[in-house]
Amino acid sequence: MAATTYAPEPRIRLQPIAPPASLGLWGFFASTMVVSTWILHWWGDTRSPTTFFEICATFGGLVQFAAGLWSFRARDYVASALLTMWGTYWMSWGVLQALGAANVLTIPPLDRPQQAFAVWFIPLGLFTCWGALAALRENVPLVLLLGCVGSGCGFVCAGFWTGNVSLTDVGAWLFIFGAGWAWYVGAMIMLESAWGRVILPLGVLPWMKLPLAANRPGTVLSHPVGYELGQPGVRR
Amino acid sequence: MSSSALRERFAPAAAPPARIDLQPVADPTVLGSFALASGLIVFGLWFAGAFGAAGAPKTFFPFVLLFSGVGQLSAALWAYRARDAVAASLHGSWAAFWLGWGVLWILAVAGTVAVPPPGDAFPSLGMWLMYMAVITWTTAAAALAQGIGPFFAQGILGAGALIAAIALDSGTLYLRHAAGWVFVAAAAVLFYSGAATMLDNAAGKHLLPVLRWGEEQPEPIQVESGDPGVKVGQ
Repeated sequence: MAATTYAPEPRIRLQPIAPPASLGLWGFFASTMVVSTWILHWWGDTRSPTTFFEICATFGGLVQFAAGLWSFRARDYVASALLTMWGTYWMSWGVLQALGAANVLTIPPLDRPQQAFAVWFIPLGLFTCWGALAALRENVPLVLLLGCVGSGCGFVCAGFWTGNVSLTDVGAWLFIFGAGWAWYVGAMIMLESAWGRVILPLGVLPWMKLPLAANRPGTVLSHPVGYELGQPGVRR
Repeated sequence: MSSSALRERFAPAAAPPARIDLQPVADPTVLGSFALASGLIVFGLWFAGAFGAAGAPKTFFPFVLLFSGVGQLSAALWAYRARDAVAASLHGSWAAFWLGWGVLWILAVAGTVAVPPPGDAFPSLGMWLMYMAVITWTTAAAALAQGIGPFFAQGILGAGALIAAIALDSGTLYLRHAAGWVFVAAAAVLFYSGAATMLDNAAGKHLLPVLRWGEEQPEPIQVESGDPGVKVGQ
């Protein structure tokens, strides 16, 4: 019997999802705050990382990584690359700390050079700064977040490379500012999605994608497709 | 079909027609609420000193790790499909917390790390709970758009996290006990919320108030003779 050729019509399928960036950014926010405030000696001692790295690895790592993967579905170039990349960073930092806690390897104190660790902040800083450049089309809080974290990577890299604690501290402060903006960006995205209107100003400048009205609380920016009486997924 | 016709079909000069596909899923907040409430009840009662000694988590941590951690993470990831930003962020954040707390106790059981006894300061966990409070109150502000039930559950949970953070940072036992009971209270509201939503959907009519704005009963779009997914249920 002769085979029949069936050539289906190509079609583009668009499927709405909840914004994944909030969860990923909050994983980054909380992990960065815990570690940076510890680096600045606001709390804890030299053994503290053995009991706080676990949630860094799961929240900053695994969960931020998952949010990064969902950002591919959201077609977000910046979030899909950076959340996934920082998620893998926190997971690998967790593995390093676990090996340190098990006395399999020795993790030097902050005032000793540790170049093999410092070198990772070069690609992290480069890609994060590049993300800040891309975010110039998005919104100011995201630019500030990525700018602070990207430049913080430079200082932290220099600090760990040389064992100069002052440089590491400057980097930790920049990370804290970046983490604050990460909370803000995550909150503004989620509140806009939940309320269906702008709650926290989105920080848009004239050349950016969204209209300037996005800076005004109450503005309706999105018109989600859905059937109000449908099940979750059909309605928002 | 000739090769030029195939090329015309599969690589058209103009963009192919686009359509928006909406796919219904079972409400992931049911699993999320049950998983979060279960962890909070067990952890909260132990934290409040209602049962167990200092090392009791060595026995119950695997359930918290897997049900409240992995279970809640599954709910969070399905919440993206359900287009529920609040559920995704809330359950994803707390899933990460329980997963990390579970790993901490794996290491404690293995003798790799030492967890301070109740009543002693434990800032490594206290700092985490402080940021969990910030995150949970932010999701509560967003949940107010959904209804009074989710708002109260998350508001109480955020308060519990903050009291627990202060208790662990300062090593204050009575604050630790108070935080434990607040966690149990949050668990009760979460359990009710999940149970009401599940009953509501299973019965196809309102049996218990789900404490959400616009409590109109959903009208599932389905072919009742179809396979699961095409019809509601199995």
